[in-house]
Amino acid sequence: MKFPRTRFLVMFVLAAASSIQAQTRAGLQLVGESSAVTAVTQATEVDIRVTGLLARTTVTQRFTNHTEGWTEGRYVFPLPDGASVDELRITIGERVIEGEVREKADARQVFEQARAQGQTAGLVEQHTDNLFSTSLTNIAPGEDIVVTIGFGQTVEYRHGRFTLRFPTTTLPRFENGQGADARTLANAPPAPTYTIGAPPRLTMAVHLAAGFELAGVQSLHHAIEIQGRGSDRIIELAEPELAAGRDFELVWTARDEDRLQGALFVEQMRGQAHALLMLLPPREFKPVALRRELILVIDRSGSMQGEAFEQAREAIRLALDRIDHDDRFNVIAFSNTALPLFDGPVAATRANLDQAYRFVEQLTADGGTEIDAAMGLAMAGLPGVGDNRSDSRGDSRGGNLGYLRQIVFATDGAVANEAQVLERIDREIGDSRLFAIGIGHGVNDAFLNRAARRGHGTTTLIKDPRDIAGRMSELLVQLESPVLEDLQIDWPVPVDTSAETWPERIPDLYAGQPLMVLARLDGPASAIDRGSVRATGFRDLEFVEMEWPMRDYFSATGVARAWAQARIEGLADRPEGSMDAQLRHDERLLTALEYRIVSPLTSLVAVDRTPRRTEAAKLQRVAVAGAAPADRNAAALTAMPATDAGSLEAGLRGLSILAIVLLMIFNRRFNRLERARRETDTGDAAGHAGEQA
Amino acid sequence: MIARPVIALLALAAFGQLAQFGWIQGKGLVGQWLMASSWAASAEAGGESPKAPWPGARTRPAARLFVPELQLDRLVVQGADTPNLAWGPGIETGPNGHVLIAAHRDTHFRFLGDLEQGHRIELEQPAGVVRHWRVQESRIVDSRSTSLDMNAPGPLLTMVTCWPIDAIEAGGPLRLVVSAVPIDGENS
Repeated sequence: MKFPRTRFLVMFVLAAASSIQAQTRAGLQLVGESSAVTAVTQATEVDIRVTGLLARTTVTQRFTNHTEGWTEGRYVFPLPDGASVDELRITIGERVIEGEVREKADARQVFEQARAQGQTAGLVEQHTDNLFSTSLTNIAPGEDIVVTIGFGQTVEYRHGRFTLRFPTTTLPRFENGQGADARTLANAPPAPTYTIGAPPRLTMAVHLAAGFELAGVQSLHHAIEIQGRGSDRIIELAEPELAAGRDFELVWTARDEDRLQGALFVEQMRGQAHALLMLLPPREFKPVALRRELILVIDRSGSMQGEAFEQAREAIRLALDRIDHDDRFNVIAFSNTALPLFDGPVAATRANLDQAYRFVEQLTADGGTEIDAAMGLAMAGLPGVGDNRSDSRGDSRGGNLGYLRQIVFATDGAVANEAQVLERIDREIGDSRLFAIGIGHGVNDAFLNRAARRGHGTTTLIKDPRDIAGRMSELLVQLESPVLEDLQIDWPVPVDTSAETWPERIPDLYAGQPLMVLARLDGPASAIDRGSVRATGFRDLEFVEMEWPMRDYFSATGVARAWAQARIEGLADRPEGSMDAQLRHDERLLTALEYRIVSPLTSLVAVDRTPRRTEAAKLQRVAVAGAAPADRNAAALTAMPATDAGSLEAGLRGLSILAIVLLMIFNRRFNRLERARRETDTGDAAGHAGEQA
Repeated sequence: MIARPVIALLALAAFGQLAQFGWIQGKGLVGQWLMASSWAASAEAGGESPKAPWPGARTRPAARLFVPELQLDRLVVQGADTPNLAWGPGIETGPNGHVLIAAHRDTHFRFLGDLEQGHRIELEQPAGVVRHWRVQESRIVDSRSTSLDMNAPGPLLTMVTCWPIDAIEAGGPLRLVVSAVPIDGENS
């Protein structure tokens, strides 16, 4: 009897340990004054409204302080890449506290001050590209606190499929030993260590207004319930208890279109028109037989171990399958070091390909993620190759000497030395195109997107093993079918002004992969509604021109903030030394403040102005919404106006002096009467005396 | 025996003070009354900017402040500096949409202490455009340690007056700050 009991105990401990581990991602850890205690995330509600290509998400989380003391906590959460947080609201009972955007250090100071003064306060900060945290402080014993965060993001569209992502997990960044860039980790907040309680409950509602007749809507990793018809749907999770731990992905499709088309979305903000031009390429396109040089890079680091590595391997195999016999190729595997199959790209002969399959088969996943060396190797092509694909408008494109070099790298992106890798891409990319494949849940897609953007390429995310064949064939078809190259866009702007466009470097347009370009036009939409947006490029070496009249635009909220977000990211993406560091910082900060979004430089802070922990009598030195502490050194601060005319004081003073005057007059009169009486009294007495005499 | 001149002097001072009280209060009332006709005229003229309410006036009505719950109706003048505030509450707008209205606690903003969270405020422009706001919070601040950030991102309405409302002594450091947000939830 003893043995089963021991086994039961061991199982119980293991189960408890794993459940604690599972909870580390999605809880709020509360720290009391004496010891660390925890509160439970009662529920998370997610509400997403999709209009065309723009999605607005509101996340509402309810926390309860089950402890006896005043507590505080921090909650770390990932958001989709490119999301911009612009709303923070804390509800305590009947009270609603709205957050405001301030410079990061400033916001933290306001928060710390509120914390010290016993006021309930919240702070939303951005740590890395897609990792945010919410801090809460001074939650009363037994109190329910509801935190609402709102953010905007764009819907992804490729190969006829629209995809909306909501991550529910976060990936710990992998840090390798020496030479690593410690910044990524130093900036990230320490994650909560443990939480106790039921699994977090996630309810989610997506209101989808696609703007076109929908062919189908499906969720890739969750059971859902769908209502609605035509272009509109309402989607809800069928099993809220089981929802956390997997990223939510919703995919919808429209009726197929086989031609290149575009759509223009405009939003006016701060008196200026912000435009989003979306180019939808046809699903299929077969250009002239362009010879390619395919460099396949596979991440075999320890973080890829297991399913992820199998997927990466499968992805590389699928790529090898599609290599044409007059293409060239190479395979590079990397962990701590880069391991190339051949010294340089080789012809895609049967023998070479067989060797490549065997090479991929023998790989095992182990060690660190030293991606830098592998990237260097991949970008260093054969002498002379790639030089022909210059900016000279296609005259030498596809010529005998030139190969279109495409680098495909499959990884989970869990690297520590991001900056170093990105710098190398800037330096060495040349005319190569860089395509990233992100593998697994919680992939570092922000890094992959940055890398691909700098490499004129795109990112493909594969979360589920079932998707691998589909997604890979999409990518490979895409690689074979560039629809438009050397794309240029002219924006209609008022005279003597210019449009500021993001991305600055417009990538090529490939089949099945749309292109979104954001611009701020220097003027209101009404000033330019007679103009049109004009795009030119080369298609199969032929000059192509397209035009969209401004009066045909769709108005859409979120375009302006999407532009601001792209600008903040784009400025940060610019290579070192291309612009003054201070200027870069100021421009990004100003944009974030003007458009009121959380960024690496700005945070949202909300403070409950009612002091609650301390005595109410004590004067608070805290800024109100729209008011700031006087000792802050900002020119824009004005002193409180004098709001006292002094009439009450004057009136009261007048009245009291009047009273004194009246008293004096009365006193005089009284004295006079008294004297008169006394005089008559003495006079009478004298008269009597005289008579007697 | 108190000398007659002393009493005369004191009486003069008393009348002076009372006259000042009457003057301040009277200015507040007359200013509102005169501006009401100028405001009405401008509304009839289709929202063109209001004319001088009286010959030589430096102030113009800039907006109309209306609190339905308290049945309050005030014409607001442009600029929140002391000469203007005699005639009505003064309004100033920051570059990012932060609207500030300040007035004296003993004249036009005597009611400010009665505003509660959730109360509605209507602010009408000369053109007849009415913006609706809801009181979000009231708090007391020390003007020595707190100042106004006119660059704060709007839309945000802040109303300021002296605190306590019925203090005897004038010129105290405390201010009552009432902030309101637009009801329509519009962002830009």
